[in-house]
Amino acid sequence: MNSKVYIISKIDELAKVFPRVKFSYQMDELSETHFIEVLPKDFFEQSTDEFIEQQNNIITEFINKFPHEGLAFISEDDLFKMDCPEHVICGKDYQGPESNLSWNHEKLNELLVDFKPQIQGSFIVTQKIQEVEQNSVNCNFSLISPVQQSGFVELTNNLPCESLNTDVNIEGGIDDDNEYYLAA
Amino acid sequence: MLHLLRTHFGKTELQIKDEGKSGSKNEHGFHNWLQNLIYIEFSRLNGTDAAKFNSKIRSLSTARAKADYSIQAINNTDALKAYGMAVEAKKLLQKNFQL
Repeated sequence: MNSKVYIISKIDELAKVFPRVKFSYQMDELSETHFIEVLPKDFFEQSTDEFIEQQNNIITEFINKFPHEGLAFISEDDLFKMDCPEHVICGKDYQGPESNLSWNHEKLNELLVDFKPQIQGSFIVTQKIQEVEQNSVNCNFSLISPVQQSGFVELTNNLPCESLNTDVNIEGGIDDDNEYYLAA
Repeated sequence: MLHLLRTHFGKTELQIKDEGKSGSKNEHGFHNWLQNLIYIEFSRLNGTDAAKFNSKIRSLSTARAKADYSIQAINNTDALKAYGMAVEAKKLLQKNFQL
């Protein structure tokens, strides 16, 4: 078990024990310190003995397991900004502004699987790029609604394409007509 | 914090040097070794203050790493906040270790 897995498992346990609390986790790679943000701030600042005990047990166990890393519990307005949490979990009675927000990567994957047909339906290319002509690339394709309706224009272009000279003068190496020797 | 190693932990300069050296290797640097060592002793004395101290010292340590090793700037607000946290952390040490 690595340190992140360990911390996330502990946060999930804490959210069950303290249902009115939201926990967010983020690591600072530079200092190799893991931060757990606890909200609401009042709960953190006036922590109960039970929460303090749980906090200290987790930190002590963490130091023993991962002595080369750091772990701290913080709240909002801390010096460390929790701008991109890797894991967020709200207790079932959390009353904060993001009380319906409780996600992790597994849940995100589940969502993507559940809504796969809708997501795919929005980005289907109706006509495949089929032909590559000698002097042009046929780029006829269009995006179906609702993407089209949201401001995209149908792309229909025949882009000019210069033919590549693939002739090689075997005896003389690269054909002098291309003046590749100037590149040196 | 170094002072505590001498007064509270009763370590000699040689012990601090040797243990600090091995701690630096095994615990991602001297600062982290020192924070771990003091936190464990602190939590034995006063769990509530130890948790508060740990929160402050880790945030300060992270800000120090950001200031020294990244191109991100520490703005005036954060600098003042850091100073306030350092003062509070020092007070917690003084209170609990009778300094």
